[in-house]
Amino acid sequence: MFQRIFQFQIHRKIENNLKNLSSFTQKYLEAFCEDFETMITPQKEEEWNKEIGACREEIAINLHKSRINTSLKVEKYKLFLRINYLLKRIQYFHHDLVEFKEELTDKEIQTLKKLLKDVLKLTNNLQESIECLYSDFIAAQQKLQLIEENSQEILKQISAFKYPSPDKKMIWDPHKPAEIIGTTLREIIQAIFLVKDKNAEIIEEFRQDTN
Amino acid sequence: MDVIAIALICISMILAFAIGANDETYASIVGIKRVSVNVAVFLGAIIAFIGSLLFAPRICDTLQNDISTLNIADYHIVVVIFLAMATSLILASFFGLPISSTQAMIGAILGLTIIKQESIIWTFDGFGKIIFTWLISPIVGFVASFLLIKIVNKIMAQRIKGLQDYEKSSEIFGSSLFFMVIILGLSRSGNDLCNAIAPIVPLFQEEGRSLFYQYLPIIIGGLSLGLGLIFIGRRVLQTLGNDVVKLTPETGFATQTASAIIIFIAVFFGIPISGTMVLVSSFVGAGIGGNKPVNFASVKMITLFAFLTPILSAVWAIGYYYATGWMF
Repeated sequence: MFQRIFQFQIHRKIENNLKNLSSFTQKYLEAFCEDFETMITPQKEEEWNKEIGACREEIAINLHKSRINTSLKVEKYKLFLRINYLLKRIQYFHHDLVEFKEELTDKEIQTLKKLLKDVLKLTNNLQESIECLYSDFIAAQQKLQLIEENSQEILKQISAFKYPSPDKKMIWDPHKPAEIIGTTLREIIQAIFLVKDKNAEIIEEFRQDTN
Repeated sequence: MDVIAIALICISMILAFAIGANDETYASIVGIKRVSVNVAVFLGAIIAFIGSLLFAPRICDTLQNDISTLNIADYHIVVVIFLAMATSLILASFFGLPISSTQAMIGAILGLTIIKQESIIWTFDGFGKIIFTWLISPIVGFVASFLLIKIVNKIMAQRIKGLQDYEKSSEIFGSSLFFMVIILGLSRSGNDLCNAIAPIVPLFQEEGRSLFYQYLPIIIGGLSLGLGLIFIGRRVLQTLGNDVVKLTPETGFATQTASAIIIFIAVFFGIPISGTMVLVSSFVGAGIGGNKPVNFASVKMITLFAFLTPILSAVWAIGYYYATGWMF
């Protein structure tokens, strides 16, 4: 009961859990960029999956114990779900990459490597925004703004993977490796946007709360 | 002990049970989700028992009647007033509505005053004071908590930079509120119990009897108070803590602090005020002041019952007066 009354520890645990979970998005992207040729080994992936699983479980338990303020608790839970969704998208992308990498042309690989570096920057910004969310709302908002600006450029470049353009001029084949990888990469960016939007909503609500 | 004395003891215990069932003290800690309703009622019951033992004096003031010429020293009248009060309180508790026990008592006295063809004292020393109380209590409760939450929000806006700061301040408000409620619960239970057991305390003050025997009405009354909270009290806590307004630790703190300050000032200057009315209206004031959604359907229901309580109590009192006439 005392743990329920004095919740300092639980709040810090949830904070660390969220930061920890979101750090895996960065770890994956760093691995894609740095070890593109070898990719993440199955052993490494299994190890990360275990850590992610433990982290998910811990967040769920700690959120259940948390009694601070229902709306904040719900918002944290939604943030957790969206980070989780982003991780899933990254994992799907990893599997697609392993499966179709060999079928990509050299030009496509070069474009993909560049895109992955840009997406890594987005996940860096996202990670920093989650850290700033706890310490400085204004700094967190600046990081979210960076994500907004940088992602537009990346989305344009993904069309090099012949993702169907709005004017439908490009020929799109959903079974071609480049299209499949382009689509899953796009989904990663959409998932980053979902996390970014949730961060922005939390800042908005809890800054408004104090006005 | 004769039949009337035993009847008095039973009725006092029923009234203590009813007061416990309608105790809204712990609503704010339920509202901020610091404890569940189940934990709150059990904690409240323990606090009520301890508070009764510590703060209920062995000699309680007997019922005072300033509002009419009705003689309430008569055992029959006391029994009827207590039964009417208990009925109103238990009925309201079943609907989860916090009501003022003073309102229930006034209604019962007025009902008996009418049927016994006594007269109401309309001056400020009499019934005028009660009307003043009923008018002023919700207004001051609302205004004080509304202003307090505005001040609290202003301070928080200056100090909160990120979620960590928000959580820290919520912790401080939440923990302060928790301790405030415990202290309030301890002091209120002594006073509440005294209202219920005043007529029976003298029956246990015989010379040469043990201290335990002299404390018996307080012990049994404290237990009844706690049992009322456990068995029926959860509904009132649920309504006020969860249904009226979405409480946060800071709005909960503003609610409780505003009520405590007003009640303290009122007692200090001798201004009559209803604790229940102040607390309920301060929930609404803190909700509106803190831009939280207020459930006006629940507020309307509580207000309706505030008007109905004296009328219903008067009706119960008249009914009980005729029904129990054969005993006296």
